[in-house]
Amino acid sequence: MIEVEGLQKQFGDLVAVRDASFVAHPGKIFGLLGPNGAGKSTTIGCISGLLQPTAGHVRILGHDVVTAGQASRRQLGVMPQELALYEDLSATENLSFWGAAYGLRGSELKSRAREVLEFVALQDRAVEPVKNFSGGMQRRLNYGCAIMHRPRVLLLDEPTAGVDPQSRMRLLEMVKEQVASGACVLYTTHYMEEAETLCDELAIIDQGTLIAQGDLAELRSMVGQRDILRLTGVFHAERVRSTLANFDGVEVLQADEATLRLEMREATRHLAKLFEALQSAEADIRETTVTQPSLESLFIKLTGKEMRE
Amino acid sequence: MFSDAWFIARKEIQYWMYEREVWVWVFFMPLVFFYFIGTVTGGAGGSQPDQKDKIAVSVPDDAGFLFAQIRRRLEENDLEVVEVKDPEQFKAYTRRLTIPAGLTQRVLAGEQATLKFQRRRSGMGSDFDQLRVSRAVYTTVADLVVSEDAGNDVTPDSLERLNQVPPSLTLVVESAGKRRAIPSGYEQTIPGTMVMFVLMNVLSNGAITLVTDRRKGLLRRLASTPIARRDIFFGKWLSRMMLGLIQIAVGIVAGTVLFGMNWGAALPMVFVVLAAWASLCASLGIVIGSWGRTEGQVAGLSVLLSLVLAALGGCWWPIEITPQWMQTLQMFLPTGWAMDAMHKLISFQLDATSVIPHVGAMLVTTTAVGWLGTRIFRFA
Repeated sequence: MIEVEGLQKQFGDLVAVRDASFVAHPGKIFGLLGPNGAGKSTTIGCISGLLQPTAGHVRILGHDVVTAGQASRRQLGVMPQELALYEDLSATENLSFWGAAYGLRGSELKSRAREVLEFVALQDRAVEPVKNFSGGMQRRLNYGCAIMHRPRVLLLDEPTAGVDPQSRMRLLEMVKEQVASGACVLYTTHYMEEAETLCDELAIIDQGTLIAQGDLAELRSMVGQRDILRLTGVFHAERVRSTLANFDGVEVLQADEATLRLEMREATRHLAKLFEALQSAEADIRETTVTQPSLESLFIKLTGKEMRE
Repeated sequence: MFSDAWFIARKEIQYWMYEREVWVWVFFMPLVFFYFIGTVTGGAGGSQPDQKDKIAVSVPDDAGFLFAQIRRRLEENDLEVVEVKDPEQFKAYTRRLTIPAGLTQRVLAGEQATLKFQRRRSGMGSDFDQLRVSRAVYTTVADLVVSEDAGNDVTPDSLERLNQVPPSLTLVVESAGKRRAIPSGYEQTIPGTMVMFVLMNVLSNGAITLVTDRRKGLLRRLASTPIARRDIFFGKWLSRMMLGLIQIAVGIVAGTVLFGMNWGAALPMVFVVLAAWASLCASLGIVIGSWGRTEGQVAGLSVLLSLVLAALGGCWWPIEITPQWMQTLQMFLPTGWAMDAMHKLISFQLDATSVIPHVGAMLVTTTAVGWLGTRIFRFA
């Protein structure tokens, strides 16, 4: 279990993580979702003991990461965003190195390395230097290094970033298998679909602040059954706002000279009327996108911007 | 604590040994430098004090007993006489002396006999060779004169009697203090190259690897293991120190076996000096690797620093031949401490205690730079 309580991390004047609290449970995947630079890696850094929290507490299976750092890190398996592998060493040597770093020795280390190689489907490339591997194979090995010591808590920082679809699927399967064996997984990503399909619980982070959390159903209920309508073109923001103020069931999330973002129920059915109203506000519409209720729409609703922005 | 640090150091050394460049720069290039620079500077600065220079002599069968006297005088001039019959072999020598046929008979008959001295090199070393051969010949002529003046026939016995008489006038040249000679040849080059290569290899490999490990997230991952931070830092320092020690071992063994290097009477202290030097370089490597952001940046700085410190510290040439301001500057540079200690032990044959201040200064600096390293060491 990971318990994060009032976590704050500051670099000079910059607050990278602000008063974050959440709990990740064993046998479940807790997703930390947010755009690049939102504070996900900083949160992972504080949990893994790499960074010292400015305020708040983080406990891994009851061990405080600051006061009982070694005990807490013993329970942790970390897969960093980078490919943290020795490229000139073979897959077996990499696994052995990281296993030994967690105290595995001798025959136990050897048999575990063989087991993990098989698990990540690299047994045929065991003695080849890692630099000859494809990106997907390196990611799988990166994951293998994180689970060498059978950790009860896994921190996976953007594990599928830049991975081909096949390797991504294999990686996600491996994560699910780990969870099925009772591990607690904290999973950061900026892929909404991945988070929706994989995670049992989610927290959305933006600009260092947790803006929503709960299970998927809870988060979806925050969006309701309302669609997000995104219009691009040329707009008179104030005129649009005053026009739409009289339009029943429409909430303006964002209105500027180039973009208009609206939340409304069954948007496609009301498009004609909506366009008519916007024309009266002298709007020049070039493109229209309707997004069904999803984590993406929740993020837009909460932040007024898309995840990719 | 130590086992974790040892684990990290061992693995890092193992990792370095996978890299071809490390083999080239640690095991091969120093030997190339030993040979080339040692050979070149040996010619300029004179011969090794404990090694006689060889001179090939072509002696006809009828040369007679006067050749024995010339040989004796050549040997007195620190030349090792090698009689060579085969003309091809004779040509292979850099110093060659040809004795004319019937030497003794012609000289005793008052005929002019000409000895031919050939040398392949030029410059100061060659002039010195010529001086030594000329001196041997003139002395032999003087022997003949003295022997005849005494009313004796010149015979092997009369020359032998003359050789037993102590010269009435001699000149003894001694160094002020314990200095034997300004180090040159291998005596300067081998210690100088070792000091420079330890600095260059430990600094560049040490710093670049640290930056690479950080960029790849290896340090970040290492920090998330149960290994304590201080052990990681100490392990990283230790691996760099070990790389330096490997370099030193290679230098000492190759210097002794391949180049006949005489390390003086205090070889253990030579090793202590070099080990202290390696420890300082290890700390410096950590600091540069922690400070730098890219591999290119730290590689450039490491090489630049190594070359400047090596040149100013006396690794490339004996500091004793440089202007006074440079000799003063050397005393403020760590390369200068290392080289001065090496000269004291190897060239000037001082005892081990004479370099304790040098070792102390290097260890204090190691600690100070190492402390700075702990302050700026970054995992991510």
